[in-house]
Amino acid sequence: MKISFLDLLSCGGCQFSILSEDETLFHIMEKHTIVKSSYLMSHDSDEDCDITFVEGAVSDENQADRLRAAREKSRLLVSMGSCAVHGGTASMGNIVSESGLKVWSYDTDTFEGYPEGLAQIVPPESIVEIDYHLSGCPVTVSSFDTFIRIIENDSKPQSAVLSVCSECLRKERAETDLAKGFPKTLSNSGSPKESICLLAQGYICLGSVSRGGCGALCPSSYGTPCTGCRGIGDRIMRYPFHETKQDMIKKIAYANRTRKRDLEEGIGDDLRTFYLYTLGEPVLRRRHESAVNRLTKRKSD
Amino acid sequence: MAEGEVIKVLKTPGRLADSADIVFDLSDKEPEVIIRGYGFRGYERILRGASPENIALIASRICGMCSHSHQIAAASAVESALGLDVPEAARRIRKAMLLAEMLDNHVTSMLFFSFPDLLMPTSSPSARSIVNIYKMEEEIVKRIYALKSFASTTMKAVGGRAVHPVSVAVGGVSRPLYDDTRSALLGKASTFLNLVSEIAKMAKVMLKRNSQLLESFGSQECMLAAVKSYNEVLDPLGQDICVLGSDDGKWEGSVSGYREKLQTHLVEGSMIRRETISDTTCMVGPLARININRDAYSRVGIPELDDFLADGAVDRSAFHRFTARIVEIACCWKELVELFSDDIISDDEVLRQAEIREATGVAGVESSEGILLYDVEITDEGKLERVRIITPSNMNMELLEEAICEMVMKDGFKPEDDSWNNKLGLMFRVFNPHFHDAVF
Repeated sequence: MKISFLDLLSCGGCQFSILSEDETLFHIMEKHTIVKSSYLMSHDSDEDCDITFVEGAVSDENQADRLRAAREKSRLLVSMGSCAVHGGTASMGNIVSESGLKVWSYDTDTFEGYPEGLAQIVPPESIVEIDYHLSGCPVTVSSFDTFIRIIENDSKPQSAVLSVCSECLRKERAETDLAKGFPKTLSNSGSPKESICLLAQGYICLGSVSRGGCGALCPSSYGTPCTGCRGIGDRIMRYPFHETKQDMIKKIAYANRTRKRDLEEGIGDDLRTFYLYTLGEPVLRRRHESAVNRLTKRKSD
Repeated sequence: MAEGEVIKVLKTPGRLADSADIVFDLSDKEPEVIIRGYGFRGYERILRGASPENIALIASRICGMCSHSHQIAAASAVESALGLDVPEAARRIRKAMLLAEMLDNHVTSMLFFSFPDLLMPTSSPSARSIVNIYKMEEEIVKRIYALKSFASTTMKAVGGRAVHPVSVAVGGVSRPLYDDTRSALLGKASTFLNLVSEIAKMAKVMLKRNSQLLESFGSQECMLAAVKSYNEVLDPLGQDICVLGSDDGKWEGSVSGYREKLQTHLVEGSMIRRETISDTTCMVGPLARININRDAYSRVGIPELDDFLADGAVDRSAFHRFTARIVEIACCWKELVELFSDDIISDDEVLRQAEIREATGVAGVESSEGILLYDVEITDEGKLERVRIITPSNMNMELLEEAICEMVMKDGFKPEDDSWNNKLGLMFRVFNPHFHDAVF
């Protein structure tokens, strides 16, 4: 197969992750032809290809044009990583106007010769049709590898819908005293107790509303709450009456036998706690009353 | 700057994390070169209003290649503001993360980015790639790649992931490095002495073969800045910074003292901020570190590197940017062996509690491409008000532009010429700018 990698608005970490896994990298180099990759090739190619992996969100016309061109040239177009699937942290720029974002860093918003910005920073699926999504920030290399091998066998990849919670080893529940502080964080309360669910200890762990496939690395192995880097779970994506923050508050209240209204005030940074990777997600933006719409100001400011 | 007869725009050569182009203004006898970076995401604004405890998580997303450095520098800046000392085991775990990332970046830079040019300098651009080299020399590529694999394995073991680690928190790290993992890493690291020597030998042969081309890059008048190593060979978390002037004048002081010296400039038409000291460009990165810490680096004890470290061998020339990376591959490996040999890194206490309050703080770490600095201000409501990030690309970009300018003055502007393009490509790869953290 001819494989291509297209970089849009991202940190470059997804491609770099693939470079860091010998088996995956050598497998691609042995079995397939890489026609385009900013890390591996010194020339640009506009050859037709079987798969283009798109890394990053879309913030300007130039990126949108390159994406459209890639769509035309590729049999399969695959969004790779959270920025390409939901907008990722790249779409956090939607919290202020494009001008406001620039002025903060440069004291000016005038940069001649730069392409015109879009009204919103969006994932590629808002511009062109995407065939498959590979989640993760960065993409989980095992899922990338599995995807390649499934396509090699002319099979169709299935979308995983399990949550991070379903993969987590912290199964025990224990009542905790939230009066000692909510939300708990590693910095204000230290490491959580082992094997007990983080929600039940008062940490905001997004495992229950986030897409699995990572083996619950953060909560299970590192004792850090899930921040939802693999994106929104199926329940919130499919059902409009579910919403990340409200679902989480409900779950934390239930796990701690407390009232929802007693919890909401304690969370000071909704934006980065619940929507760090999903502020550009079009499914959520289409819900007019959604928090994502409330927090997005790029076009109106 | 409008494109026309005297203004030419070229895309940056590939084989590095590129999202930039080069503008050549050829209207004067002395050409002007400006590198324009793309991919602005506004992280400094995104961090405004965030809880300081979230800074490491978000900052990591600025650059995939140096995500460990961003995460640690950002958390350290908050800790510096709060006057919080992290436990010794956490400090060592962070140091291992930085060294492993530096090792990984240097091997990547050498094997993936520069190797194809040095091995096949006269081949066509499409032939010059690691993919083609792999087809011809699979065993050599796999052998060198083993060192990158070790670096990735180490980053995963100490940080949770090779890209965007999960273990760093304000106050330390979330999990100790268990003794069995430490022993396994030490065992693995100990097997690489021969490989590090082999790489040094191979690099010598390749550099010799291309010496004429690389020496034509010339040398640059500039200051040098690096974190000072004392007892260790290479200490990316060191507290003192040394600045060497082009006249060999020297300044040594704290990170905040160094921060005060820096001045920000904008070049019309480019989103890459430039930082200078008293209007003089200041180089950071491997070549600055090797110049400033040559005595410490000499303790690495690998005879094959002696020529690279000999008196007079190290200067400010682009040629030595390659040799500095080779030397640092050995230094990182040596330091990792030292770190994993001592069981202090496996102590249980790895996290101290932080009380968020109004404060300001600065911290810097040595990332693979040079000093990465975070300057933060926390409000009385416990939110980040201002975060200023100064990356190695902000320091080094003008030097790269100067080097390209010199090349154009000497050789002319010949984008249709393969050897000219090859030289331009090599120039980028010796500087190895990470454009994701040039415009963020």
